[in-house]
Amino acid sequence: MNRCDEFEVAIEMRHHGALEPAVEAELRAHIEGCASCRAFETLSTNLEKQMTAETIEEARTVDWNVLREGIQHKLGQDVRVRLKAMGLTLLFIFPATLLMKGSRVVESPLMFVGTALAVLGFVYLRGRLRAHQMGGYGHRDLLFYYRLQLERRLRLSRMAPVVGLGATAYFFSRLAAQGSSTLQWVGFAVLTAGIWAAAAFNFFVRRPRIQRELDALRRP
Amino acid sequence: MPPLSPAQEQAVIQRLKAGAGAREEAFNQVFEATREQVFAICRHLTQTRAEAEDALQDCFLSVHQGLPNFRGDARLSTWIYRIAIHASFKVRARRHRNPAPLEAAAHEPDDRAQPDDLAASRQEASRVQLALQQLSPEHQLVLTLFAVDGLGHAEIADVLGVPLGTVWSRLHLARKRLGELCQLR
Repeated sequence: MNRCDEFEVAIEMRHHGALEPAVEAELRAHIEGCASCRAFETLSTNLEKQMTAETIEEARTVDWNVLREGIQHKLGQDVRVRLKAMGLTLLFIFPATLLMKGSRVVESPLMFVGTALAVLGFVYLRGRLRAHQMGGYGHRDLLFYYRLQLERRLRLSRMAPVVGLGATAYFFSRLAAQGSSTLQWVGFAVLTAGIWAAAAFNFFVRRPRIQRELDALRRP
Repeated sequence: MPPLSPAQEQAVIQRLKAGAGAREEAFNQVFEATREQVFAICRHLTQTRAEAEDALQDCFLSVHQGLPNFRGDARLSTWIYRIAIHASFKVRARRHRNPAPLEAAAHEPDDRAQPDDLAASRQEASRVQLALQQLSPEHQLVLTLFAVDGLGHAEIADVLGVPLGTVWSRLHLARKRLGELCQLR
């Protein structure tokens, strides 16, 4: 960093009231004799004024009541999506309970209720986890940990087809080994379809979106 | 409305523990106090007004869900601004595979008749916004946060999670780069 770069940083600090008086005096003396630093001072002042003024002006035209209603609508929608996700998950978990217990259908409702509570608890916590992950970095570098989090999610989403294949193979081997009924094979087919649908969604929809977000954050 | 002071933020956090009704009131207070700053952050980090409003709604949705569990290890406003930053990046990632050209997004039609100097100033602002979109995320963020009315340099360092010295050097480099891009257009 050359001398003018240091003074340019000092110009930014002065704009925001963070410059010590002794350094400010030195800066004033330098600016009087340096056209480049004077040009930077003008550029810096104008750019920041423009950015600030633009959003203040736009914010005046925002209909906050409409946005507030939009937030309420999204909150309601969030609950509906969670209930639908729970319903769909149970639709595929119920066949699995039949597979696990064989023909002892009597115990399946208990597992069904237990699974329903577990899924409901999970989707309820998911919203809170999201807010914690988004904001809860404490005093650590926001962009660095945001990238790390995205890289981890990308790795997990790439494993989705492997998980699907593994789950299918496991349930198939269990059924083939114990000589199962038609109902259990139907349950297996429904469960496999659900697992592969989730894997396909992860691989073809979520993964590209996470990749785009990560690419935007890695831009030099 | 002015941003919440640390004492007011503590009062909001206390109210969160009081029950669902008080929580809703606390959320409304937080929304009223931070909406302009959040809008400014979202507007600078996204391309269009519609995306900014989407990001703002997503931000406050997460705030509403996360408020009951807020532990207070950072200031409430710092936490909210971080969520706004994340929400803005997520909205950008949701953009379609063939996004509208940046120029078209920046020059959104305005049917109101405008005096020449106001039109020129809007055009200049669009040029700055276009140039901002071409910067790296670190530079975009630091310029965005410094352009938010009412946000001090110490709080910006807190939001970004970096030392104050890093904030100043990033701001300096970002400003220079933004100036170069504006001159190229």
